Amino acid sequence: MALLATSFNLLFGYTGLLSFGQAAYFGIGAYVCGLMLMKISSSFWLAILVGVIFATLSAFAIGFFCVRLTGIYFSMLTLAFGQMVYAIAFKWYDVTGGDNGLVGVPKPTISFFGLISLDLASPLYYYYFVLVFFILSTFLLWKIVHSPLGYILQGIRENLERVNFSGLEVKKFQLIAFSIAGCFAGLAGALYAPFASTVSPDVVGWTKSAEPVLMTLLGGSEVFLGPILGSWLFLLLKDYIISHTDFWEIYFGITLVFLVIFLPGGVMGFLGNLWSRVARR
Amino acid sequence: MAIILETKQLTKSFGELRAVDQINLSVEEGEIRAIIGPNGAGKTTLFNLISGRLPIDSGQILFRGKDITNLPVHKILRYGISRSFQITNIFPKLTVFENVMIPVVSRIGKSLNFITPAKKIPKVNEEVYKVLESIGLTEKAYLPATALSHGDQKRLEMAIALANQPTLMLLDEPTAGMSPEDTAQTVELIKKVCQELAITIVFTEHDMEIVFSISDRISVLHQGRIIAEGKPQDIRYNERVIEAYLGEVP
Ligand SMILES: Nc1ncnc2c1ncn2[C@@H]1O[C@H](COP(=O)(O)OP(=O)(O)OP(=O)(O)O)[C@@H](O)[C@H]1O
Ligand SMILES: [Mg+2]
Repeated sequence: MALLATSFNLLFGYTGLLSFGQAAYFGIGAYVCGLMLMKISSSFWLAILVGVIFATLSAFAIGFFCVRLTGIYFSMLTLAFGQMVYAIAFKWYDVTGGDNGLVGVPKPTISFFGLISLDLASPLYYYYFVLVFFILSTFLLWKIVHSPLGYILQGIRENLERVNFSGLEVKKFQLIAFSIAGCFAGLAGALYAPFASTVSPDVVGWTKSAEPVLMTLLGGSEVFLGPILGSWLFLLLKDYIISHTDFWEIYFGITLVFLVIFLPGGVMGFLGNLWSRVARR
Repeated sequence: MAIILETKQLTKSFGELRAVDQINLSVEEGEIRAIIGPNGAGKTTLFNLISGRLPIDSGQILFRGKDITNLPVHKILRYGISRSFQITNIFPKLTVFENVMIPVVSRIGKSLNFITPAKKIPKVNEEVYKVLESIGLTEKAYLPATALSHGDQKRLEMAIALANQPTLMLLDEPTAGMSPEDTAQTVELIKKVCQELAITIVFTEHDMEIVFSISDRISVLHQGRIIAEGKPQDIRYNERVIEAYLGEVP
């Protein structure tokens, strides 16, 4: 989940594009990976790879249309495409299992060049396996953010026109950001599929797409680690509230509204401000 | 001398208003050309047309004899036409260094590099500091752009335009809002830098003393038309120009 939020933030926090359809690529990654494992091959590596490729390509294709629009229209179109993917997951019974989803995605065993093999049926192993991916991806995203490409994306957030007047075609770079975000969302989905062992249309729906948005707002969008902290807080908060009341969604919503109003820079932004104030003393 | 920029019958209307009306402009290589005219004369609009920011209604724009009419902004820029904006148009939350870095990575073809830390690329550092030094912003390289004074922001605006290594710069009121001393200094600086780099300048400016002192030629715009053109001494006492500024043209 944290990975999904960080990938979303490459779009939102760094490029200034608010996508309401990130779950679509998460879902595509999850479905494709699940299907691969159930029907085609038991190799998890291959399943992840194919899942990520599908997610990236769909992000590229969908992004191609979305970046033609700006601001809220862009966001609405990502939402529309996200719902389309949801509809496909829901209706294409033969492949996706419709509203039941994919049931019984096997937990694969992975081997490293035939040398060591790791049985991911153990939740602990699975956890470490995902953790490694998470760290590597976070590292890669960190590299991207500080690369020339990353600064161009930040430039687009700050002042899209001036990027254009620096000799760069803004839409091209927005599409690149969109595809990269889709790629990492797809990876998160592919890693999720065997872990959850079922993949249902819920993971593609718009409520799912809202999660990375909320996580990022919660943690702070202009700090690289913000979304990661945000996703933590999000899940903690959700757990805590669920265990205390049946109407968790209401309380959860209210809490979020307060947090966003009173901490506009997210928790990280708040801590950052506090820190600079203390440092100035 | 060769002609670097030429517009033919360039026209742009906003509804009923003809903001730019059949303008024929011809700028020589190496020249400093001032475009003056009262508020609303159409100066900014003219720059917007040449730089591709606004689509033209009719006419033609030639750069070194090549037709660049209706090309997208980033392509026109690649031809070597760079511009600054009347209303400061920078990357507010990025540092001064990062502001200049964006056009630099674009120009040296590093824009798709997504692995190397941008600030550790020697060529990037070298090029960014070259620009910052020429414009006198080196000491402020690591300040966020918003922390700069108004004058420094205008200079940063110039630095971004310079970082594209243009052969022609369109400067839309490069000193708007500056104090008189700051204005004079900045204009001298612009003149010096552009002469060293052999950049042709087309600029707008409201301070007439400066316009008369540094430009080679002046074009006077009024209600979207060029009403006079010539050397400073010819323009200074031109009756139509004086009338236009006093608002007495019928
Ligand atoms: N995007 C636009 N839409 C509608 N009208 C516009 C637009 N841009 C400029 N105008 C109008 O066109 C005319 C010329 O404006 P322009 O900004 O080119 O003048 P200017 O010579 O730059 O003036 P100033 O000295 O105040 O900067 C003005 O009447 C202005 O109101
Ligand atoms: Mg103007």
